[in-house]
Amino acid sequence: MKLIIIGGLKGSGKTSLISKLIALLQRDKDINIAVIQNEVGEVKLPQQKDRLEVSGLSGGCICCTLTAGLSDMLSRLKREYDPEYVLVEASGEAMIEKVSGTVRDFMPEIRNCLGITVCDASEYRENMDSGLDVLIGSQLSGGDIIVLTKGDLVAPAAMDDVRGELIDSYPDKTVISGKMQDIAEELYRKIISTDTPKKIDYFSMRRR
Amino acid sequence: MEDNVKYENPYKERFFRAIHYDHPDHTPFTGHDMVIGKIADPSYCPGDNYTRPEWAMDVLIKAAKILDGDVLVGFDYTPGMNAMMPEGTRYLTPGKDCDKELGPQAMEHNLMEDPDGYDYVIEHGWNAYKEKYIDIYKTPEDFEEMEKYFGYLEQFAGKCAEAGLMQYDFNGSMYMASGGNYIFSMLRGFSTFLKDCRRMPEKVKEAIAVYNNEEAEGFKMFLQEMPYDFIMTNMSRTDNNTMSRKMFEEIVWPEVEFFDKLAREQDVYMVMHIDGDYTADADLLSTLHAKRTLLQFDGFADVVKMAPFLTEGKISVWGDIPPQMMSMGSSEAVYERCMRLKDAMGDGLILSAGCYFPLNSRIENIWAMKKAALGEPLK
Repeated sequence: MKLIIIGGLKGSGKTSLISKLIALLQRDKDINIAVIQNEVGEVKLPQQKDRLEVSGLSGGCICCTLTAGLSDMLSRLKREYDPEYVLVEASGEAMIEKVSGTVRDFMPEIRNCLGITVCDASEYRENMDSGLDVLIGSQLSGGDIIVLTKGDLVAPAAMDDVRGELIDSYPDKTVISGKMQDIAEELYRKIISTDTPKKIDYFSMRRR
Repeated sequence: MEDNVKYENPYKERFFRAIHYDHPDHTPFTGHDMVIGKIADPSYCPGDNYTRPEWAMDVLIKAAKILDGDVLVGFDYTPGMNAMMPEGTRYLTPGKDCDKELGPQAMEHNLMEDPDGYDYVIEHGWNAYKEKYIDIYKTPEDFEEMEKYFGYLEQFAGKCAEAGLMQYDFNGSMYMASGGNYIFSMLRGFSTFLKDCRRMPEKVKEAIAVYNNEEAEGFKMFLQEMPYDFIMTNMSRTDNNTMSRKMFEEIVWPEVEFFDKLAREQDVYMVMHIDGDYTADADLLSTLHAKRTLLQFDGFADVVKMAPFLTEGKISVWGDIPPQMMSMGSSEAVYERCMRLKDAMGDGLILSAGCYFPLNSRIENIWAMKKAALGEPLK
């Protein structure tokens, strides 16, 4: 069972990306995929697709519940559905490293855990200037891969600026941008080739 | 009363001694609420609170007795909460709306789509806003369930009194107050709220102040009828990973000071439920009312690192074993973490999971926490 955690602000394109990833992962192989959505109050993926299980998980107190309930949900999915991949769509304010840290510390049976932060390129500058800089910075530094979406809504030069800034600021991350289908294709290749457990320290982030 | 016959301090006295840093006979332990049910009956699950509440209450009471009564107990009838949440959050009920083994599932709804809502609150008050824009989402069924909720609370209180057990809210002596920061961040959605804090800080602060003043007035009114020992408030999501210290000091901290002042004036203890990593704010937190303030963390702050500040300021901690450790970690890991917290916090610690016990906590981990609380070896 491989775990892919997708985080990023609400409206950044997480659900669209997940839909495309599901299609790609099931394109060549008849495999089971499970999706856990933590976008509280919203379940947006179709549930009627073959070999796809969509579950919602929020919990008792909005903030700290995904990590606590995740093991229960994963155990049940494993037992009842045995998915090859589990995609976790974290809520807009969630920190990927909280989930991946939990996986690292407490779920040794999950060998692969990949964190993807989705970032809307068209709103990046405005968001950074309007009070979300700390939140976005935490989200970007918490994942393994940064995906820049909605590049078609930004002038090429501006897109290059954003991309360059992210590459400079997060040199240990892979930054992927382009059309959603191309992004999904590139991610798909990385996912199927990834075989290294991730080491992310979820206590390492502090207020800047 | 059968209360704590095995131990020197009765539960409540032990708890208050921890807040006062006054040498409790052992560290208080709060393995509370639904999580303990399986200790008494392995078939117990959260859905039982909805499908067979009276049976569930008896199981919870029995479990608390197995734990020597050295525990806080609670009974949660989730459907009744939907009419009560001031910000319009709704809960899915295990056994009714979601899997019976899951905990209550909180569904956040961002009901204040327009920032003009702040203006309305400033001009007409929070209660007027709530009545006009939030209460309309509550259904007649919500209110019927709320009636049942209070009925079950009363029934459970009677059972606890009969068994000599202390309830989670100290037998009704904890007043639950939401802070304006939490309310508006839920109503607007947290990201939008953060943007509001940058774009219109004065308006946000004014609306928060209106909310908090009304909350304080409500508390004072209830205080005339009920001798509350505690006021419980919260600080959620506005943590070191989401907000700059400058914005925190401007928007969030004044609210904490407001409730601190209110608690001092009314001579009650303040319990602050804290979700997120506020490690960098230990210096501020240490300035709250000494020996009268209890911080309830959720496993993401580094309490050991904060301990020098908190112990210096005589601020006590309720926690702070991470919920994922309770459900997935070993009993050795839980025990070791508890002992580290005891070493760091000394007398000013109430051992618990932060911020709540996950319902899939391992039973052996609850026992490990209790052994650590008693200072007994794990094996």
